[in-house]
Amino acid sequence: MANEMTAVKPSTRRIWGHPVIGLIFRIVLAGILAFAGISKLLEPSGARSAIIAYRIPGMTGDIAGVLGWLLPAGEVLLAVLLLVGLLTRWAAILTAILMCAFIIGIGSVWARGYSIDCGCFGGGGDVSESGKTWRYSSEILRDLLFAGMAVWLAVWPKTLFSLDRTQSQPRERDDSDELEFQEAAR
Amino acid sequence: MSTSGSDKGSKPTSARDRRDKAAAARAAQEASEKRRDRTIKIIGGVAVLVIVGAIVGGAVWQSRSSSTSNGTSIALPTPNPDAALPKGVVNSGDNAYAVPYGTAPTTAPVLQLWEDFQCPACASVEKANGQGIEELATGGKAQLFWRPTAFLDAKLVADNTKAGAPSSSMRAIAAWGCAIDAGKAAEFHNVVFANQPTPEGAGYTEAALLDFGKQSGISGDAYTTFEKCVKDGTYLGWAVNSLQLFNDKAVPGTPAAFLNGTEVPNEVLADKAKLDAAVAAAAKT
Repeated sequence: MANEMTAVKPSTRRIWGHPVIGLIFRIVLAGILAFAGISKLLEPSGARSAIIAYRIPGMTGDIAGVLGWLLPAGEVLLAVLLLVGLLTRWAAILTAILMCAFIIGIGSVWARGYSIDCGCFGGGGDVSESGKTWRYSSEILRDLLFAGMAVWLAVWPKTLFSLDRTQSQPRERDDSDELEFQEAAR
Repeated sequence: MSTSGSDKGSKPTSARDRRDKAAAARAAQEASEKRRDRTIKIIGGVAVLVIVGAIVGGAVWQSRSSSTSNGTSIALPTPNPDAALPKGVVNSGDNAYAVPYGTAPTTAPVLQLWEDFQCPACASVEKANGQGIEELATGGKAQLFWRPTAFLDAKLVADNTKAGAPSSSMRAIAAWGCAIDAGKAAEFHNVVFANQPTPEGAGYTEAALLDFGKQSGISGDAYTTFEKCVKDGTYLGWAVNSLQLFNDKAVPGTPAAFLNGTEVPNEVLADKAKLDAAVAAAAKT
């Protein structure tokens, strides 16, 4: 993988896919997700009504109650995976999907004319109409930014200080390797 | 290498020998790397699960203990379909526990309006178009049903307790029931929303609720009855029942308005022209 990428476009990964950028994105996303998850877990009935407030067709109180637990627990799981850098690519893909779901959810209530608090970091439910445009658009922009970071990590999951990275990648065999082995065997 | 003389004697076979040994060494190293990878994955995976479990468990434990230590709610009756209802309140069916208002014929569209007396968004809709909503009912254009809920009490336990007004939404509904008996349903409803305190959660003390009764025009003997009814919490059972229904129906929040069963967005509800048009359209179908 790394081999192919460096072979095709040596500069792309070195500049855009720099492992330090990945480390920063991992920490930022982990922080956001952990904060969002824990805030919701601290107020489970609030998370339930926040989900109901999105008026998703077919949503019942029971489903919302279960989702009110599962969603924040999933956010915390993704946060820890990203923080330690384990299964980074999968965690990043799921994070990107989650952010897209939030963007669709917020865009949809906006389009249908409701005025709600997104409940992103706890709270939620209906709020007054004032400042609705700014509130919704800034929430969507923020989630787009996070989705962008997640996509970045899905493309370049090998970042600094990650558990994924301590594991040996398929080793790049070169002449010096071969010589080393022969030396050792002698 | 050059120091050993015997090495030279075995030289013909040594090239292949060395290659074999190198292959074996490489295989051994790969095997040990694989083992190390697996160990890291397993330990890392277990550690992640333990950390996630600890965070989730800790947060849940915190939410359980804070809801009891941050404040108190008043003792509430359990939901009971036989609980006393204020005069005129619907006792069963789709509009159970609702307060009907207005003079519209039963052929007019049904407008159900769920509100929590502590909900700021409700107060802002009431300010914007509360009068327009009541005019639809008194003008015979729509059958208005006010539907009380108290779901914000759970969220505002700490603030309500700090303000000396625990379970403010519940107690405000119960007091409204007393005002309904006195024939001041709309008046009391409007006075409460007009006097909703900021910040959210400052709630309604008993003194405030009694004063709202006076502001609604309840006086004399009627006020004495009203005062006793509020102090006794006569209609708390009704408030509990209506909240239960709100939760069972998964009503998406407050204010939530349903016109012939279809939800009306707040931007319509808060706009007299838009709501009038929606009601007129519903009357045609």
